[in-house]
Amino acid sequence: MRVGLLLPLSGRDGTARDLGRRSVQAEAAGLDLIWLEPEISAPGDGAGDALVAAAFVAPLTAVIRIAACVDAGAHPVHIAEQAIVADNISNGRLVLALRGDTEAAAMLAETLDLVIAATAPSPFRHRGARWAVPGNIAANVSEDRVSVTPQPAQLALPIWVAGSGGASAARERGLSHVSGAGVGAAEAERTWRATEHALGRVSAPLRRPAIRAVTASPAGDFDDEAVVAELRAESVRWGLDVTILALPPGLAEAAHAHAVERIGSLVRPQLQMYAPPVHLLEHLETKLRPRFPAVADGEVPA
Amino acid sequence: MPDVGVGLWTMRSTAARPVHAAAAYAALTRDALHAEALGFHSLWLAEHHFWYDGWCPAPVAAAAAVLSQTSTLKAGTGVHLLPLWDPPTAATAAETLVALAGERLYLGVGLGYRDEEFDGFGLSRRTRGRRMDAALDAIALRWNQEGRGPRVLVGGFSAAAMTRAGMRGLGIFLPFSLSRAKLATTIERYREAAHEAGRTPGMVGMLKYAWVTDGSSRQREAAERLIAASALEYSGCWFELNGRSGFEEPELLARQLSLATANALIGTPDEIAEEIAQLDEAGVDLVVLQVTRDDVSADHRHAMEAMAGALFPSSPPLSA
Repeated sequence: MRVGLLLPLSGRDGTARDLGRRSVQAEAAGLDLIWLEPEISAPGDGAGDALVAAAFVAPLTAVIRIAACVDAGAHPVHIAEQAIVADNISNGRLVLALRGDTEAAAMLAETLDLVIAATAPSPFRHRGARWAVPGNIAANVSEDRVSVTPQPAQLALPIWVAGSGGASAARERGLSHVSGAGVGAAEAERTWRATEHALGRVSAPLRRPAIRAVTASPAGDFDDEAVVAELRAESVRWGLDVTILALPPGLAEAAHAHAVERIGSLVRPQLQMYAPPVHLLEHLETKLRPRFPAVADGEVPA
Repeated sequence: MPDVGVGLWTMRSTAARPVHAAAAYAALTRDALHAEALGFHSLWLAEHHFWYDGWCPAPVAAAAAVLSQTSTLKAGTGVHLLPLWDPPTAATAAETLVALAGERLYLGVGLGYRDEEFDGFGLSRRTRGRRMDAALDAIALRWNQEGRGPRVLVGGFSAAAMTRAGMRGLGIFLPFSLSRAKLATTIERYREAAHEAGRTPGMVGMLKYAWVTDGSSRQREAAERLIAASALEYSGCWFELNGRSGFEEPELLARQLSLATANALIGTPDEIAEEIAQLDEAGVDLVVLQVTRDDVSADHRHAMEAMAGALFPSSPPLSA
């Protein structure tokens, strides 16, 4: 299983300025990706552009994948252009996750169609309910089709779909849907069974990501065995294969670093095999777990 | 001495200087560290859309790469084509970068002029002035009043541009084609517009082609040829001259290119430093030296080092 870390974008509580350090920590812990997510409820707080944030953390990191969660709404050609620039800055490490709730499902669907076309190599033309590209406005000199340039660094930019309005839009386009933190295993299973039914073997190459909250103490401590057991169960039940772990908001910096180390050294290793042998788990128990001792609530680890 | 920045990183992969886009952006982050180490004030990016060479279409995202590894260097856009963007999208991008990197973003904004770019976004080019005014009122005035966000400089030198900037108390970003003779009256017009609106004039920035020589006339002539060559493809394809593309109007194109060479800073590093000091007396607060060469083979890093030695004599020498 791939294991990543959710990094919220908010200008209010200082996490924006912590973003670079936290991205470096996630990479140092051996995690597979970071998920940069603007808060839906905080428009105008000045930190909501996940693609600018991705471009910012890219030069600070070398290998970790950077997933940028972008709400549908902006002109899709601009979303595509920003994503292409971020993908090139990161030398091909970007995942673009487009998000929309149920009310915005139509806009999300059209955004997906346009972003898919605009990040592909061929010139394209789009006529939709909301956008026309190119506009072919009489007063302009215009072309029949346009090419968005440059191309992404990757031959095909990975595009995921998130939000309550995203499951059917993802399925119709053969894309991965990201199960949200509030979506339980039962609903995720229903979604993926429907996708398998609709797409058949076409669904096999799709990653099956989910955001999952970690219940951690203020010191950043959590029950890694319980987390591993839950994720393993979801993996078996519906094929969860990319877990984006969300730590509680407001963790102090040392507590956050402690939690990320625990994810890297205790959670992720146990999820790299279907059934780690008992002697390996005993080794983790006796050698590794003492390095990351359980810390009492309110106590900051050294 | 005004602040001195370097520009313009266009991220182009031209026929004359092909480069993979990812390599160009990797070089951008290296150049940003280099510019900061040399003592330059800022590094400036540009924006265009839908062109074969991959000209950077999202300069604020590119500016994020400039600012993430540097600590004092500023990043500027020279210019961000604001009428092509919805104001909330442009504002969120800029505000995110300020939240991440601090007050180190200078947002030079311009109208844009190529029909195909407006058409790609479903906009009529004829609306560009109105869209610029609406965007400045929605974004820049708010940033100004709240004392946060990037510093905004309005690009151009027309009376309309000077009024647009002055009446809102925003800065200006003058193009390389503005002659020394017209510089004083242009800045005066801008200041009058600010005072008439009861505003304090903002920062005066200016782009200048710069080329380091040994001071000889032979190298000056070569520099003029190379500056013209470095602007040829862009001017020939993009500028509408007499209603046609520049390449179809060779005489007008040559005159356009002569504007670049006539107003360029060409000479030894000390001579260039002296000319920059004179711009200070004319009221220019920030000079952006055009040192990148997208269409000719010349190393901007060498030019940056040579000019930094004359401009910032107190800065520590770079280790070899």
